[in-house]
Amino acid sequence: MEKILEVKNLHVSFDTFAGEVQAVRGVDIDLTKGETLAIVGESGSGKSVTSKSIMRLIPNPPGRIKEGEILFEGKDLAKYSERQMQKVRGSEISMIFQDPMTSLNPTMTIGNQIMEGLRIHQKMSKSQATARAIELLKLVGIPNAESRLKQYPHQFSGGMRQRVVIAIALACNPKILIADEPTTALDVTIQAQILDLMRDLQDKTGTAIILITHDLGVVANAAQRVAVMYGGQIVETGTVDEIFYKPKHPYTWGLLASMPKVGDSGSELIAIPGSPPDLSDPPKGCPFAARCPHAMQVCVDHMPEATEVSGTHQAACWLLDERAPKVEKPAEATVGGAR
Amino acid sequence: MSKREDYLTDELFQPANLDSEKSEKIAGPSLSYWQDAWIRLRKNKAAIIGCIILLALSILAIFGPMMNEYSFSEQDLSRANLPAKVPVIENLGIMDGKDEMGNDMYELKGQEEGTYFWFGTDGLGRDQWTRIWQGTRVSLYIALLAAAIDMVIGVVYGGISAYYGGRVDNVMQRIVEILIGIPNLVVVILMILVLDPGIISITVALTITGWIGMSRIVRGQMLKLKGQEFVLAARTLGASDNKIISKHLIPNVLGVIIINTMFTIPAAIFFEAFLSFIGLGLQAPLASLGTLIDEGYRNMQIFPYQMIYPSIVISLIMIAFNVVADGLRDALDPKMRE
Amino acid sequence: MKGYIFQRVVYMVITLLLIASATFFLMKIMPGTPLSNAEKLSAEQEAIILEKYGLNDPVPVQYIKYMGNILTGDLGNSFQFDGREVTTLILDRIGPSAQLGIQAIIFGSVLGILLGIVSAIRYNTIWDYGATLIAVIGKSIPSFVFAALLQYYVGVKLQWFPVAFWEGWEYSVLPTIALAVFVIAISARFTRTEMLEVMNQDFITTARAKGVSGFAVVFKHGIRNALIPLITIMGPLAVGLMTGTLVIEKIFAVPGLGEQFVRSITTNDYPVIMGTTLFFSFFLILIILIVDILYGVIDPRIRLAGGKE
Repeated sequence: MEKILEVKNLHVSFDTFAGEVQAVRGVDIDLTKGETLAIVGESGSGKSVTSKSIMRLIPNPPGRIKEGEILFEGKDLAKYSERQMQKVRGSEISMIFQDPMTSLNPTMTIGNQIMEGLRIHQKMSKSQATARAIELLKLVGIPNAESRLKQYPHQFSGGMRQRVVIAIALACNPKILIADEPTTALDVTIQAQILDLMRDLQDKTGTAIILITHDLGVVANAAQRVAVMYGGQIVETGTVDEIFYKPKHPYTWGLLASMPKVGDSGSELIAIPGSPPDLSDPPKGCPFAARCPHAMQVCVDHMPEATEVSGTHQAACWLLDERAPKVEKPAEATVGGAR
Repeated sequence: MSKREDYLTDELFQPANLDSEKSEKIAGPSLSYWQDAWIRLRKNKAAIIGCIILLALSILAIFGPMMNEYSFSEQDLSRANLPAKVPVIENLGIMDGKDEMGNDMYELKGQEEGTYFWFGTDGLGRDQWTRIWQGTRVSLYIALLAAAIDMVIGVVYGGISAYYGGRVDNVMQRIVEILIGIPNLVVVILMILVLDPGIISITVALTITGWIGMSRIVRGQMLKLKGQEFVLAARTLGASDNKIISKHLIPNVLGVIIINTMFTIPAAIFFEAFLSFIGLGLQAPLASLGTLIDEGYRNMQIFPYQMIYPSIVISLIMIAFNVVADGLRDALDPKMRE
Repeated sequence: MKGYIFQRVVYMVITLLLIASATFFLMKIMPGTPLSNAEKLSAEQEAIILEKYGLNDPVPVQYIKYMGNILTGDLGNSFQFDGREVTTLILDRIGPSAQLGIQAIIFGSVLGILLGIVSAIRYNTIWDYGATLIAVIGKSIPSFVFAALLQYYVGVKLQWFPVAFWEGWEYSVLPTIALAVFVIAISARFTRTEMLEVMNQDFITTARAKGVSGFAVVFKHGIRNALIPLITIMGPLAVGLMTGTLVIEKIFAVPGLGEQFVRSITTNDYPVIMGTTLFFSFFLILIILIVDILYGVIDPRIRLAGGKE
């Protein structure tokens, strides 16, 4: 399996009014050609910052990559100049954002926005770019592509706009597509369409996808592997089956338990008590210790290291240490209902 | 992991009884709206310098006229049109009592040794220092009074309009829509033509349409707040009207009122000076910064200092007020809070 | 949209009626008649003049006549200037004022927008502080103070440009600069705020994620979106320019509307004061109306951008 992207020990901080916020604290990610990796976590867990860092789109100041490597096909993007990065963005790696209502330029036609990347990266002539833009709009399922090319974003519905955003991202056949909560701002019915579209396009183009989401339902639908983020760190990674059926980290248990289950309408929704750690003053031990029902003294004092569970499955939790008491995952932490 | 084995004892692997409260602990002190605003304002260097300038100018406006033996209306043609002369600074080659040609005017006019007019004298031999601070007093007085009246009328009008809503609001807003079209400049000039220029008439002229901006801002803010979810939430939880007004509406509206008032003051100072400059200002013996600049302008080619000192004072006041107002806006605007 | 424009026009007419009525009644309670400034006249001559100006009619009749005259563009006759028609006086004087105003708007907004853009893209650097300082000073220093200092230092001392009068383009340089300071300040601050807001929006990140260079992001995606709301400040700018022309034309002895207006105030030439007031009001209200309509037309797009509310 060919690794297309390897992120090693990434640290990203923001210098704010209230001091340094360590949004990402030592993240390791790898991505294989053609696969979909989901990064899951609640707001503020650092998943969006991680993805924006890969694109080097963190505004600096206040944000900066403190340390770590972002190896894309073996080259370290963290060391790239802004000019070199511009050649990568949109052509090798592209990105789509959460809110299709705001991620398109309101004063530029859809056509020009799609063609912009083509003309920069592939030096296409205007007519070539137009032809490719029409092709792309058809590919993402927008009817009357020729006439819609000349329209402005406000003439499109939310779902249609997200299709346009995807068309822009895929214009130059990137090797990696980073999708930052691509369906969060959409209606449920549209969500499924967009996910289907992404999967369909992945089959056709072979693009690897990093899917950022907080919605485990989306993960089950779209990804092969999952990385669970909490407090600026990855607490557990594995295949979808491993994460959903054999989770090892109590935070993953909590996430799974808090998923509403179909046909279980009588029972209460389960929440994880407490709130995430303050990353301007991160705990020195496990970030989840304060909310973990199985916390031990060691969790508070020492950061757990990633422990291998299987060849594809790792979790950073002291419970996996042989000296720890044996704790089984709670019954609620199962994937319920139809998948 | 072998390195870590040394300090990882078995005891560490006992379940810890963590206080669940601890995870709920709010990191960083919790700040009220005003504390937060104060911290932001303090960080704004320009605003702090503006505050210091305003403070210094206010002190000078109050005590300046008492700082030498000359009165503001005492005329003496033998000492007319003397340039500025200040002890100590005179040795630096500026403010040394010499005119553009380098003649020591104090000597030529036969002033005794040790006579100092810090800002010089005007065409009637009156001390400019005393007159400028006296004028600053009048200008500030007019501006503060006008701003206060604007604020009261605007807040009441906007508040009533927003609070009652419906037909009352409709009628009141139609009136505002007609009035807002009248250019401020036109109203002020017409009013001054009818009322003879004086402190009160200038203030009245400034406020006659000046309150409209404030009323619109207050109404807009109140309406926005009324529809906001935290107010709905408070209402759902059974908070009384009084509580909603005092706890939710006033603190949020107060910010915009303060910001707007801070912008009204320099605008009023400008208008007063402007009226003086086009010949509609205060009549002698009253003097304001505007009349001083107007008088100074007439003699500018020969005695530039008569124009320059009051110009510097008015510019400093205007800059300071604008900078402080900007700083307050950045500090108080809830939109900017993150 | 049509309904909105209609409504605004109705309000505009009511406002103008209100101003016209106010000017009429103020003129009535004002001391002095056309005769008070004139030479001693015989009773017969006086009667002829009073008759000519319609001053013998009852006030309501005078009011109706006055309003009727305004509708036909007749603003009465000046007490000064050999009794010439106010309308003609205004039309004669409009040229220099319009020239100054247009020059100041073009020069001021181009420079102001550039300053604002530099401020925004070099946010929180020495460039930003410098541009902000210029804007604050430009906004704060009264136009007539600045004009007087400019006249003294650049005109009298350095003698780079003529100090006063109106005999060629070089005579318009100093008054244009003096007028433009305000425009520079306002447009620089506005552009800076808008640019900062636009540059923080998602579509800018989308553009960067496409591989668009920093320069192109600012110029292709940023500026266009930031400048659309700039039309909203055209109203306040017009008011400021008008206020400015009064004093600046006086200082530089420009034979424009403002200079004439100030002169008519000092000589109690009421018909000219009233006529010019009405003209100014009409002009400002019209500009604000046009700006509002323009903004209403392009508003949907701006709203969708998440900019203004």
